[in-house]
Amino acid sequence: MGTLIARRLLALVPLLVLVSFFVFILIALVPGDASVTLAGGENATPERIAEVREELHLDESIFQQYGRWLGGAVQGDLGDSLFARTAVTSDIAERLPITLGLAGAALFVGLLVGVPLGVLSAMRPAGAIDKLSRFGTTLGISIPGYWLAIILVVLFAVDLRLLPPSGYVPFFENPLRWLEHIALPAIALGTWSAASLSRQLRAALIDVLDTNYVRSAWAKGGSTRLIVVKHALKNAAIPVVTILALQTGYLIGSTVIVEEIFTIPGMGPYFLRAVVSFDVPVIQGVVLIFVLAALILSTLADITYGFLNPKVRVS
Amino acid sequence: MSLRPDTTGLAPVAAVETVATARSTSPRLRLVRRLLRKRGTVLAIAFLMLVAIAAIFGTAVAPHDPNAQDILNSNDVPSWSHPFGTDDLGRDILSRLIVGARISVRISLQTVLLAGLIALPIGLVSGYIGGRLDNLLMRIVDAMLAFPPLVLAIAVAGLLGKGVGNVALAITIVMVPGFARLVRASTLAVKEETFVEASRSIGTRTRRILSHRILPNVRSPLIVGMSLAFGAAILAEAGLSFLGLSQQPPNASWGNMLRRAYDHSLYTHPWQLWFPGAVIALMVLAYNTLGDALRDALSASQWVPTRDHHRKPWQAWNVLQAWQQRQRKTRRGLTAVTRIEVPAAPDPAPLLAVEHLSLEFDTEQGRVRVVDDVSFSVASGEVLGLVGESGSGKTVTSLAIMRLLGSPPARIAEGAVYFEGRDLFALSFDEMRAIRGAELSMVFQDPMTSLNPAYTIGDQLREALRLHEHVDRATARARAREMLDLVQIPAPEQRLHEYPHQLSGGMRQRVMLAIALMCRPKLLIADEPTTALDVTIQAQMLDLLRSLQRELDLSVIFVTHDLGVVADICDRVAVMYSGQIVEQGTVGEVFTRPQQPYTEGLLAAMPQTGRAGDALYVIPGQVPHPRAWPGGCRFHPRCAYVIDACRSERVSLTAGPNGAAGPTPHDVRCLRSGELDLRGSQ
Ligand SMILES: Nc1ncnc2c1ncn2[C@@H]1O[C@H](COP(=O)(O)OP(=O)(O)OP(=O)(O)O)[C@@H](O)[C@H]1O
Ligand code: SF4
Ligand SMILES: [Mg+2]
Repeated sequence: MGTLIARRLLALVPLLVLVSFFVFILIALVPGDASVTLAGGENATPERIAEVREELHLDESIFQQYGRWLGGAVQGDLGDSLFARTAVTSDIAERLPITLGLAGAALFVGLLVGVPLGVLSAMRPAGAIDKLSRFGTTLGISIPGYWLAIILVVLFAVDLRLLPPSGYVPFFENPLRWLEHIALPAIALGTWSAASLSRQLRAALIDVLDTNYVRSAWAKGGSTRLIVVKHALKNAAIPVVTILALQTGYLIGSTVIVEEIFTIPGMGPYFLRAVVSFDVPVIQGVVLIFVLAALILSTLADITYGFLNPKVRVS
Repeated sequence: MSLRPDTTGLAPVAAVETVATARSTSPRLRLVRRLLRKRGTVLAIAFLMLVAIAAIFGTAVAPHDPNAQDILNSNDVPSWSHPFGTDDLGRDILSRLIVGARISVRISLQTVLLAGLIALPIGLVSGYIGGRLDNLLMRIVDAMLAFPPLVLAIAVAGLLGKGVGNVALAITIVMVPGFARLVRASTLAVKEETFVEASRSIGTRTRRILSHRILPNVRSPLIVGMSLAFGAAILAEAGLSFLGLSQQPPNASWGNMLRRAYDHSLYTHPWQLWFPGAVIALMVLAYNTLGDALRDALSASQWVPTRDHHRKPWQAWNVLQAWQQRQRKTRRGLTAVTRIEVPAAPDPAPLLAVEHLSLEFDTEQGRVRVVDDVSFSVASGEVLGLVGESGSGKTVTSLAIMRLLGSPPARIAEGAVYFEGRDLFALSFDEMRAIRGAELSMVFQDPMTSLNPAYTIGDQLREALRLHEHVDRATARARAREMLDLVQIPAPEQRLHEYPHQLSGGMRQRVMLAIALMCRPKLLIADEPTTALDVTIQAQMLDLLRSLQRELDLSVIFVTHDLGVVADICDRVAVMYSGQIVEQGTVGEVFTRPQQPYTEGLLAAMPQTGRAGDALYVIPGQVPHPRAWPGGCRFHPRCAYVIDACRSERVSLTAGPNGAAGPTPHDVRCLRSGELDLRGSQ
């Protein structure tokens, strides 16, 4: 198991190099002369253009620029915002926990609803619950999260006035108020998670419930609970965990729009402001953090995979 | 939202296509028919057509100028002249939705098709050529896949600059790596298949293999993957539009309409938020429904509930009852029983009596009967051989006794199984559970897959005991060790801690046997316990079974198609053909004086019987599929003694002497049993 983890982490190194290069190379997408565009386009002053050119070392080759950027990134320095002049790293450090909290809450909603739904519909494919849940989950993966968020705002905040329509209170300031503010965005994001998770779990469980070893367990006189919880779920979890990690990576990305709608001061609004103003260091920093989060999740999934699958663990 | 193809359930596509082509109707027609069978799919197609019309004709079908402002009529609720109302600038919402359709349709088609087109050669080359190039390409693909799709799309679209074209480019870039992986995976799968190997060895050129062999098999998964990506593309575009990166106001797109309504009408006219959002959702829903249907239609045939055509809407009460009944009957882990009559138990009751058992499966082609009026019994301490060629129904009969067949699709249509006088088909799930593994056990045909890969041998042994007896861990562990000893597994203590994949096939079958015997059952059903093993292991396994049977005074149903084994270890034998018992009696009787041509054929096919030097005899023809059982005697197409009457007359099983003075020495199903002089095994 130790070697498995070590091997996984080692394999991550070349991937990280490639990924970070892709993040950096985003700057190449900027149309026209990057220094002009980044300095403000048409109304850029020559001084400002020179300044940007200097700051981003745009005169060097792209690989030299990359090396410099990566060197800084490894030491925790992602440069400064071109406009706010603040350090990207500390900006992100401030906002990331908020986003992760939201993503965590959404994942919680996803698991809370998705797992039981997946299990129940797999128990009786084409049964009443399954038909209903298939309908529900098809809707769930089709409804845009941002629209669902807006509908939730209309219903719960504007009409019923149960929850605040926007804003944010840090968890450590007041956990209850935090929950009030995070509930709607978490449900808006978690619905998609729950729907896709339950579909994946249903498919995996139906496959596993059809296997010979599950038949052996019935033949022993096992109860439904024993079959599902012990024999089927553990095996069905093997493919699902991988997919779940992938989806959670996506989920973190999807917080961007939802944060914008609820004006939650996380990574989303910060990222979007940077995107519309060509604030390249911020864009690179945020994208890098999002990729890293996704990579960490998928690595965790691989390690969990090893725990669940003795063929990987014992060999 | 995910811009990557969801590939679950795509694997069997290639295999099924070949089956489909074998049928008489054209596969494409069948596909369309399967697609249109579901109402949801038809609705989805209809909606997509409607949107397509809007996208093609745009302003020509729009009732108003989509950009014409009319401040006097702003925020009008839906009316005849403005069916969806007007927005805060007095623009007609319906007209704006219609012109917005063009953006969504264009983006979804453009991005998915382009991404597919780019990904196809990458995946093909990577999968087919392999090696360094594959390694490099897949590294790049993996790195791109690591990015959360929406974040990447926002960054790329934002940096390229606002606009529909750049958004399309961004979405395409995000989609390519997922498709490339999909194509590569299907290429690899096909490449491994023998026919590609074969054509490579005859020297077919690589390009020909790629275009004639691999491409057709890559097509289905890619089409399904792409059809599921359309919805994701729409969602992404609308999202970017919502964020102000795509279509710029005043021109309408669904996403920017939603944004405008959110910014300007959330508190005052929240109804305006419904239309653009609902259209996006419906569009994605339609695409997803179509994609799902396509996947289902292309992948392995699934169980489909048989429709009851005679149901009338005004019989609501009956429908409700039927539904409730079905809910009650279909339960995981217990075969449903739909018999109407219950045959009486024989008197005196043997240990096990199967009475007039008939089994049916609900399949896509309708209901098929696979076991037809089967009766046999097993006395205490007796070993009954159940023999017949592959497909004759031995396994399903055994599973039905244990009620282990899944419902749907299986149902016990007729008959009863009396175990120690109790009708197993009348038991509840919990009552059945108490018997399974405790008094009635089964060892399955395939030892490689019958143990749970996620738990140790010891765990699975102990579980078998603790399900039925309240013992502490230490006792359970000791018993598990003992049982492994009993089935002659060396170093049992160590084996207890191992996982199934660490054991050989023979070892696994011994473990299965140990599990089955853990609670000292009265009856063991052994379904070809040795077929999957190699010959020397087979012999050991049989010796073991025989000695255990004597030692534990077990009753055994031994399922096999090897008559040599039957002669070796069985007391009585029942011969099955096409779901029926065709001959039944003591081994001595049946083997020396067979009364039924099928039995004679089986005996002649035994390697032990054939004279040295002779080619091994095989019964000509094949076991018919249950859907194609011939009328009259089911064996008649293959029988050497067939007469005209065999083709038309119903042939029943005549009882032997123990069923009063019958005309035959034991139970036989043959019109000519009295007059034929058939050869036995000596
Ligand atoms: N789930 C199912 N749905 C439809 N038909 C089925 C199903 N399971 C089995 N059958 C059919 O029932 C028939 C009997 O199958 P069964 O497995 O009992 O044969 P068998 O005598 O055990 O053969 P073998 O020697 O190959 O094990 C076969 O024709 C098979 O196609
Ligand atoms: S009934 Fe006729 S066809 Fe059938 S086994 Fe007897 S002789 Fe052959
Ligand atoms: Mg069988």
